Amino acid sequence: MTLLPGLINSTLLYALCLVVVALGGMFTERSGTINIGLEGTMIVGATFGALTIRAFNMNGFGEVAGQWAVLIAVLVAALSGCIYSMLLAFASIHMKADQTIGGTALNIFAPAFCYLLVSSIQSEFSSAGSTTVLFNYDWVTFNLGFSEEFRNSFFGILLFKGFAITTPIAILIWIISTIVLYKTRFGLRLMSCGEHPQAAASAGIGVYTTRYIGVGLSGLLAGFGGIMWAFIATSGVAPGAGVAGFGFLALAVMIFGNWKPQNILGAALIFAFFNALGKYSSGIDFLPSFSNLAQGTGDSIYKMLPYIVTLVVLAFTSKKSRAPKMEGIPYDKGAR
Amino acid sequence: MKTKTLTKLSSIVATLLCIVIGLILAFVVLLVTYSATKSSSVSAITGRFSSASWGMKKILSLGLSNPSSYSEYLRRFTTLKYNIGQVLYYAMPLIMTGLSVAFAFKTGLFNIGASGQYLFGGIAAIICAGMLHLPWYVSIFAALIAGAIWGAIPGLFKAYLNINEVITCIMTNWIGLYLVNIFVYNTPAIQSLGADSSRTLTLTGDGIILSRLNLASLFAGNDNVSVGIIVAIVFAIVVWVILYKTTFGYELKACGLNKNAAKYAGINDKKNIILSMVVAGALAGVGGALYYLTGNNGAVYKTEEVLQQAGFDGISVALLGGSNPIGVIFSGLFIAFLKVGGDNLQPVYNTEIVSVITSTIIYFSAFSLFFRNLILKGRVKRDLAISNQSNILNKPPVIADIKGGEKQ
Repeated sequence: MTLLPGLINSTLLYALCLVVVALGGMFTERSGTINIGLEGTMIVGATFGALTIRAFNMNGFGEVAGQWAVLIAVLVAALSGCIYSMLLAFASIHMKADQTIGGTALNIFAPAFCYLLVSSIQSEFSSAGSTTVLFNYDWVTFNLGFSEEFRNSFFGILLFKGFAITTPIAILIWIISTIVLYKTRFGLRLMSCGEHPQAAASAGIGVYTTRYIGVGLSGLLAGFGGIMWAFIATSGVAPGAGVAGFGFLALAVMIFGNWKPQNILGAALIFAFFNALGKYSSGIDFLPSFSNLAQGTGDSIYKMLPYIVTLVVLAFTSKKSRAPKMEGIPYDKGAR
Repeated sequence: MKTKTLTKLSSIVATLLCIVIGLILAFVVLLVTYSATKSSSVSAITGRFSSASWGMKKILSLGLSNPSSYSEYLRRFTTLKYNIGQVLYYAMPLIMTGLSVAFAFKTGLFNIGASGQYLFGGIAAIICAGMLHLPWYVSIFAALIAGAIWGAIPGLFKAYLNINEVITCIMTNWIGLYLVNIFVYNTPAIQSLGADSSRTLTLTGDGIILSRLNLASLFAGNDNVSVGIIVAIVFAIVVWVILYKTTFGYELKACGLNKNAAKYAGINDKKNIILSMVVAGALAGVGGALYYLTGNNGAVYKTEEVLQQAGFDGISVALLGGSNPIGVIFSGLFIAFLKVGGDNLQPVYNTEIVSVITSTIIYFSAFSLFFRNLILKGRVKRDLAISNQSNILNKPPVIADIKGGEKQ
């Protein structure tokens, strides 16, 4: 009885993580800046978040305050992502640089920088100088005081397997983002800057400021997504290995979701479901196991599945797909 | 005319400026990440600063430092020759994937899928060379076709279904990786080539792997150097001719600069999008073939769950080379040079320092427009005033390009 709740749980966690990062991408592209550096920003968030948790464990604060310490670490992750993304914002908004170049630089810099940082910090503590920041401490997991027995039951697995404080926050982020984008003055202004910045400027909107906020939000959410990914996927962050292409996937989910929060959620759920199906395929009887083929074949086929499904779904839905009109084009006050 | 040469000159100065900034930052990182225990293995190092300058010298001089005597000088000269060979060996796939990304940039497409195309080309070459025992040039041709087919998919999706090429490229990267893995698992012939449990295989045999052309004697016996680097440079020149001397190239560039204007001028934009991705895929595929066909330790194919880094390195190579095929040759060599320098930093420093240099240079090269304007300030305005007298519609010489570096 652990299969079905496990499947749903894995789908939800994975989808929520994709959603958060994709929402970050949405905010920046809606404001007119392409952020291809989400992957790098996630690595920065994950590394700084993990280092914070480690520090709290060392000074004993984690043992005492538990979830408060985790919450602070998550905030640190988000903020570090935000600060890191300012590098892109400065280059692409003030210097009018090519945004693809800036984002690519961010992607290359992050793993190298974090790797160097972690290896030089950790060599202070141990001679081995491990390059993985571990955070598998007892106080990190979020139990809400439920018993071990309940957590292994149907609903326990459904709700609390791999559960961290980031999960409810991610749901909140999706709700708030949807409201902010469509129902607030800021959201509408943000979208106008991505569609026709000159018109927006003539209506008294500060295009530079709005675009800075857009990129900053993407960094904030990508940093948060980074530490969330770390909670879900591993028990430690290895900056050298990065986040396994997750930032690029989020970018794909954002385009798949047509730059709209509701569609992004749907797209992420589809992708995450097939991803989870691959993970649990061996336990599901009616799925073919490809056991007549060489070992490893079935595994690879199921891993390939979410990508193929995404392509097929896109083929049927994308005719109406439309990117923000002025994304990737630096704002020029003098242009008409 | 004068303004044009000045613009070119200033863009070179701007690039050099970016490199200097990158190296300065690398020096700072070397200073910060100094570790006393690690550097004790080198006797010349006496402290933080001397360690950092040792590292800098290692990067810039391909692993050499000041020789003390004549015999020492000769010995180091041999190492230098060997390392130059190593640079050529590293540069070969980098130039190809760089060309692939640069070519797509010229049509306004972002080919982030070079990784999958590279892998497809690589496996096609392995099949031809390892299973069918065909000569290396046939294997390269097969890789070209395989890469082109895999590159055509994002092109078709973009042209007929209006799907952003970035998303299809990301998807085809992973699909390609798993397809190749499935193929390798199910092909006993591949495993028997050098079968072990992790399914690695090595190619050997004269005529099947890339011809060495006796180049090893030039590079102190470094037999990683092969005809491959010549193939890569020839491809770069061919791409340059296609882009700047043919109607096809002109149409591609027109589509990249303004799709609607190109359409209005009677250019078939759908055809050009697909062809651009096909050519980009073919170039990346050849890159894969050159890497695996080298036949030494580099030619081992291992089934992995990680995307090929060479495809992503291609993005940096293309950006540094200003999306110009000839520029890509130099940027490919430069990145390879840094990589070899980085290899020589061990064990005192981590090789990741090279990535710090590369990313800093790329980041500041995004500012190159700003630097150029700074250098040209005043000068261009005056020249422009003169040229405007003769032709009122003359465009200003420095224009922001939306994608892919500078204009010709």
